[in-house]
Amino acid sequence: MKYSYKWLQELSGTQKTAQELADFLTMRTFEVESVEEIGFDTENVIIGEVMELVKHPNADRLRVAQINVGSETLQIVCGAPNIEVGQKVPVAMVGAKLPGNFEIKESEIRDVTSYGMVCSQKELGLGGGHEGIFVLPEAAVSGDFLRDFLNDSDFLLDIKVLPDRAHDALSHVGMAREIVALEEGELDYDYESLVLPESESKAFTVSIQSEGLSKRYIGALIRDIEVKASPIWLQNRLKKLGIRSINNVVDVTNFVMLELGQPLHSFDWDIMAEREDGSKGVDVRFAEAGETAALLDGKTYTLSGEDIVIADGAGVLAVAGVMGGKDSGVTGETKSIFLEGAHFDSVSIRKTRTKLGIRTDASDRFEKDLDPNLAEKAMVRALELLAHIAKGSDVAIVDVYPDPFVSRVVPLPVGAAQKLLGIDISAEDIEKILPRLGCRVKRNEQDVLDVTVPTYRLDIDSAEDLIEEVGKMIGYDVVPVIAPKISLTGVTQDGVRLLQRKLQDSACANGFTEVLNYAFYSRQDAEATGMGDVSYLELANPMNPDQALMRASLLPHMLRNIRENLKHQKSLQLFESGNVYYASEFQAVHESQIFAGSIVLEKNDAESFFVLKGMLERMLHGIGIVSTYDTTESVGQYWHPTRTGDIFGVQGHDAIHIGRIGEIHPFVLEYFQIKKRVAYFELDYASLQKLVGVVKSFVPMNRYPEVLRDISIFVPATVRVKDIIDGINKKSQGLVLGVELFDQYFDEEKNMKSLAFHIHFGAMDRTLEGTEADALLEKITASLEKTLKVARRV
Amino acid sequence: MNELKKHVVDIQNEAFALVAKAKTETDLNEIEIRFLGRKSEFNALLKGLKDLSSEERQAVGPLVNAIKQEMIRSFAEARQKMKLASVDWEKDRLDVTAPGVKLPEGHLHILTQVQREIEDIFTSMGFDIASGPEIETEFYNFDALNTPAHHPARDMQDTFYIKSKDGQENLSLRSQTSAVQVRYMEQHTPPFRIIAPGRVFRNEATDTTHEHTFFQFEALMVGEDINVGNLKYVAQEFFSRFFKTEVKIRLRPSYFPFVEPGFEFDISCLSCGGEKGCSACRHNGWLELGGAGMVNQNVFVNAGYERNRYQGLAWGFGLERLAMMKYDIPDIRLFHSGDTRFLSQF
Repeated sequence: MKYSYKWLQELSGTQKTAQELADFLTMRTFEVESVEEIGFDTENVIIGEVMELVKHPNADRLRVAQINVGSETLQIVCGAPNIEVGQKVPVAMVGAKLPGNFEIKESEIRDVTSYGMVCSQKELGLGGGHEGIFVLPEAAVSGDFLRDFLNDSDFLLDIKVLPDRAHDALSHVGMAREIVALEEGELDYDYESLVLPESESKAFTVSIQSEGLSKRYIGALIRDIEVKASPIWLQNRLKKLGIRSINNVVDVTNFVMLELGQPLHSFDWDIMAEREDGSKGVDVRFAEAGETAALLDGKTYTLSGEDIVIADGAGVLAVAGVMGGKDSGVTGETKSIFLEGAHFDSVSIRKTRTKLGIRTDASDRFEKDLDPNLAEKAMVRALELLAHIAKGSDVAIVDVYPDPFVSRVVPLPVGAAQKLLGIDISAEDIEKILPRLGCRVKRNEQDVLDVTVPTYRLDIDSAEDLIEEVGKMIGYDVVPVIAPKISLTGVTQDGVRLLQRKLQDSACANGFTEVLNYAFYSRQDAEATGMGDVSYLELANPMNPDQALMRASLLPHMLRNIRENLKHQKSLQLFESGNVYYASEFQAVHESQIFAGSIVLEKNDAESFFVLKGMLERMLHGIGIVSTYDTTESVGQYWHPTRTGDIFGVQGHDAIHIGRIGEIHPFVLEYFQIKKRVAYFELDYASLQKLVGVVKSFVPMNRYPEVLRDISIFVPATVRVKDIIDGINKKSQGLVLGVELFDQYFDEEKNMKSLAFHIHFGAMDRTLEGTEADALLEKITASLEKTLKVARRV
Repeated sequence: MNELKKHVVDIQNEAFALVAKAKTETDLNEIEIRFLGRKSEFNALLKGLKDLSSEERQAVGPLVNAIKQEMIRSFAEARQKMKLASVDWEKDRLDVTAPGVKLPEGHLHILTQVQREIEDIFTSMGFDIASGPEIETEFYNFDALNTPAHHPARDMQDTFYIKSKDGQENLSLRSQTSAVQVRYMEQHTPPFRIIAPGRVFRNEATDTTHEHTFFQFEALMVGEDINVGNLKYVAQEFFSRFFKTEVKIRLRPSYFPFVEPGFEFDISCLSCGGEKGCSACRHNGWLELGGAGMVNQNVFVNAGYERNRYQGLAWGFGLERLAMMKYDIPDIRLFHSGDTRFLSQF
């Protein structure tokens, strides 16, 4: 909220400049977001006296004035009808800059030279509506600066009041109270004396449907009111704080809100309809479901049974605490007004204003709850002001307040403040500090301070709340830096986090760059990557439709990264470690951590799968996982149908599925406008987690020489390398130490694959003879011929 | 005797002169055979030593042996020289200024690096690392943190909600890592100290300093008498280590429902050290970093602890802001840009 520095100064008596006050508040209580100088501050506008006035020789509507501005007398051409000799008027001298960047120059007006301009209020930026020049009081002195005479300059402090203090600090009196408490000053405002007269009127009735709607409702009927423009001081004060002046009645309600923080509302009494029983007054009730209300913003809203309304015999006059009705407000025709000062249930107000999408100064305050006793203060203050500027007579008041809200006593154990803040502070200190906030402190026998908190501080209801206030009053800069006394405990390592670090490091060492992408993508991305039928978690309120689905894969964003980066580089290796999310019939939310990597090669992109596979093998081995790979049938989604496989981690004799590796489907690449093959893998942390942390045991090195033999074969196109190696191992008799593919090509003529392997023969307990190896090789080859239809290459 | 000595020296001189003139390895071999071969005069001399009297042998022997060693060395040197001269080194010359073979270069994301740095500082101070889900229940994200439904403080941050299916609990993307607090407390008994780093989400428009997806850090320390002074200490210790310079902490009153008292905390400006007058701190000497406070007793109660049994400090801040400050990064959106021209700088 924006606060007037001058107003705060009047109330608090602070000696600080606006900037000093802003810094002080920021450090000690509320953050001041900006300080802005406002008001009439134009140089070169001087008070002058009209000495002589003659008709302009060449224009009927203009006159030529001689104006004494102290040191000289200026000739000025003026068109205002209300100018008269002897008046004191503001004169904009040549060179003055008026609002709107209007610069005054010496000018010829129909052959008469004019050395300045006599100004209206509007031209000076002092509020409009007034015809003619601004006639100043007799007391004004010719030659003085208008700025000094008006003494109107001020500063606006934009102070951030957080929800816990909205109930008291969103007002000038509330803020001044805070300043006074901090500065140990005295508030210049007689809050306590604002008390309603005892008498209860029978002129109208107020009914509250149930206590939960409103803790207090004060209505005041004022007859014979003079609705007119507000006095200048009131208009200016509101204008300064960004509120448009409407008429004296509405302006008073707004003024009181700025002063005390209590929104008030005024209705035109004569428009209010009688109830069925002939009585008149207001009903505070829940709206009927479907009931409509035409409000001040010109729109008609349909209400529900949760919305509190102010109604008369005919229907809704206002949506309580949110906005008044279009037709029930005070106008120039109004003769009698009904003024409302009330408390409304904050949760209901909040629900209603959220649902209707209306936010007003009133709803901002009501939804954060208000002290029901504040309604009385505000009502009395408003009546006082109205009597002064709008006359009125025959004031009738009804105050429905079945369960008055009284001061609470909050116990504060002696020593608690010291213990929480870490400073030396005695009970005596606290007994001095808290009264500055309007609290009464009494020490009881149990060494507890019983602190009576004023009702306008709704936020204080625990010892910690009081300690916070004590801390603020002392200032946190006095709290010393204290090393905590703690027991020595070991740090436990989170397995997944550790695994993530290792994988990230390993990927990085293998040339992958880490990306972080958003956790959402579009429905279109989902469809385009074959993931349209995933059971997505959808955002109820996405930033935009492109970010409506929680990602079920890291791929779509990574493809976009690839496309964009290929604009400035030719090859690419990326990885991301992050969560994917989806629902299933068993569980509302699956949130699993995935590690994904991709590669794009500059040349020979048909090789990208094997380059990536080689890196992946090395990375996994680096974290202690031996991986194997197998063909995946019917892969689906974004995977290339014939260039994709599953990744397994070896654990003893088992192979645990840990992820998938393959090329991305060309149609998917087409959608992302990527013209190169992309190889990609995904690993699932939960599965990897099962494989890491197994303590390895030493395996002795083979002390005997190996016998190396090669085998070159033709195999049918459908037979895979894995099948051959499995076939070799099956017949190994424990004497095959390793099998390596060293050559492969496709023989078009034979329509067969040609494969060549090195086979390492050896025994752990003796030197294997060459002849033994040859015999075994023969057996192996024969077996392959038989089982896999391979042919020896000669 | 002297004659013999002179003769040996003469042989040596002759051999050295010939070695100096030798052009090829063959020449050298011939000279070596002539002077040191079995049939050489020198060899004969060596053999003749045994016929001398022991006095004579002692007088001449060492000299003869030394000269033999010297000649052997001179032949080896000459050979080495010849070998070196036989290669055309210029032909083999490399331009060492030409580029190395381009191998793919990997980079950890700068936020990963910063996160690790933070984790390492805290774990060195004995903090455990805790984590929780990114899709969070209303309970842990709000209610448990003393922000029940329709509490105005819920407006302080705009939250993303998951479309709920019938009868399902309301889920949201966690708007703060504080959501981890009560999850952790439910499983552990004080005293403890943890940090909870992680991704959080806010439904707000993005610009150079705002992102809807960002990383936060939560530090939580609970014991029987943890106080505001301790909060200052832990924060000061951490930031001084992180920025590798002595940093001061300033607490300003603020409000977050899950702490009481609550603070905004500032650190002394890294450029001017808190002295006024530098553009980095907008001339006020301090940099605003995050929120902090003493754990609200209601949070403890929500976690199942006895009211007023424990005191705790909690503070959190955005990782991006820290990285931006430390590495002069001008736009928060770069972190999620996936642009390798940015990522490969770190």
